[in-house]
Amino acid sequence: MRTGCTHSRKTRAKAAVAAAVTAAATAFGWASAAAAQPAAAPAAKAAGDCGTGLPGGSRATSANYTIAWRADPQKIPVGRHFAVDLLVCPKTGSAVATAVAIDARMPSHGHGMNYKPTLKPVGENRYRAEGLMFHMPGQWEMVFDLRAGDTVERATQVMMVR
Amino acid sequence: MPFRSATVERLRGLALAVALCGASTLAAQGPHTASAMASGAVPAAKPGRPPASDASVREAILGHGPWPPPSSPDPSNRVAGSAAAARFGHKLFFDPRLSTDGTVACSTCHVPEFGYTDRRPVAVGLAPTDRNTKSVVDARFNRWFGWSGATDSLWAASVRPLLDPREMGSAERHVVDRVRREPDLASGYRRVFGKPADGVDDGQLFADIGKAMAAFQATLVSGRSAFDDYRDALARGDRRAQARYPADALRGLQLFVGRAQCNLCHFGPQFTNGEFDKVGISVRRPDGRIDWGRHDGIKALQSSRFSLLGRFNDDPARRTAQSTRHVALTNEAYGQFRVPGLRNVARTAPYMHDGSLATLTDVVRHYSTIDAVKLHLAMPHSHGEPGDDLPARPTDSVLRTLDLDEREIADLVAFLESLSERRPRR
Repeated sequence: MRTGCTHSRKTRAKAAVAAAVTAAATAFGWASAAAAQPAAAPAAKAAGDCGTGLPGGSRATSANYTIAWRADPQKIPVGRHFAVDLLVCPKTGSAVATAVAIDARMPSHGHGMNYKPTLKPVGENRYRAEGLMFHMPGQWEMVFDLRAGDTVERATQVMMVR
Repeated sequence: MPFRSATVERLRGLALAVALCGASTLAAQGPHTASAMASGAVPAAKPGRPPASDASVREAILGHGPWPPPSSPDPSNRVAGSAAAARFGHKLFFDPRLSTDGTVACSTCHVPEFGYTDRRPVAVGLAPTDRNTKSVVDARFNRWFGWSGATDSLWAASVRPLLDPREMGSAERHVVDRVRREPDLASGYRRVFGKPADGVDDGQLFADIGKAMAAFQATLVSGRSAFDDYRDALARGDRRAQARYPADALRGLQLFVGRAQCNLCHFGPQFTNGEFDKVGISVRRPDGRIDWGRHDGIKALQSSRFSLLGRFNDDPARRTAQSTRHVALTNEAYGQFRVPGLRNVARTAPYMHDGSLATLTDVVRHYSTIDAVKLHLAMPHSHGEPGDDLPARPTDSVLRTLDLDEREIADLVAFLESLSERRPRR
């Protein structure tokens, strides 16, 4: 997987962020964190540790977060549903994400998935998404949206699927 | 197409092989790999017979088999796999008594001699409909049914036409009353489901009628084709058997998995991803109304009490309901129609959701000359980034003008014809 294609969308004007949250919430199914979260991540939750709990997985990063994720099954089958396990790690000093959403798309073809995944918290900073499907081979982009307060941040990761 | 010399043909074969290697190497990188294109030695191609020796081309071809694929009875249908249910379902499938006026059966449009289609542009039951009749052969492997995927199981797909005013025009009450009152149908139901139809509520009985018909249709699996013989010979490295595959069909196959990229949507043993797309066929009906295809299909599915999320699903675990649970009603679904499987495609003319293309040659010409720009302009985008005012413009397309020459068109048609089972079913 190519990890160099990640980028982030950081806070804009407050009104624009609110609109973004609304738009994203419409497009994606947000999952709120399972329990009350601290305002900022302690050093032990540094992004560098993210992923150790998901052997064989991949990482996507944004300005304030690292997302370790692993498909289930690990080799994503084209034309069949798969799940994704997520571990969201705020970088040191960053606010913990209070809600997470996942989607995928084929940017070069201008379409997304035909299915809307559901995302459930399964532990501290951990989530499981069900119902994803890549309905054709080619370059797909995983999209992770992370909300903390009024801000929404996005991390993406490009992969080639066959 | 201008005449080509043998030398030109060799070069063309080589270029084709290069194109194939490029596309399939990309595909062969597998998930979670970078997207760099590998370049490699390309085997020389004999004129008229490009080799399938490249590993990635081979892999792409092998992905279209084996046939038939392994399968198990539908868990949402408690009589799936039952021979008695298949016999009863066969009887119902050919029985016009279930229609409102006793004149139309499932077999009116799904004619066995015509590959379970009807050779008409659009189906005609009690009246002309808007869409071409899809074959029910191999339907057991489907995720969605019909051109719009309005149903999510073979049994739900089997009862839907009973209620369509232009197909069988019946009412649920009429159908269940028939089965309860006609002695042969009542005894058939009791034999299969182990209880009298009189003791079953209308909804359950109606669903059960569909389940018996589904048990019959699940027995309709297409036979092996010339392509399957070639594919299996390739798998076991049997060059002599491979050589029996016609050269034009082989060239067409290489186009199919190569430059034409047909296998992006028509992949797997069934030659379909089972999903939906727009392919440049008009959604406007002759009377001026619009056929919104998948968008309407999803709405119908989500309002149906016969979907896999409803009480008539016999599988308490709802193992086959994942697609129904997660399907998204997006703007992209407007005007999409299901990607058809291609097995026996040469026997199911005419083509496309509205039956507007008469022959396979017409279909290949359509894709060869498709206006990709128009398709892009018509494509809604619902996956822009939060806060974006405009959606990202697609930089590529599955569908692009192929500009195939006459021989390439003929080769693709020859390949498609090689997907016909050797012994036509009756």
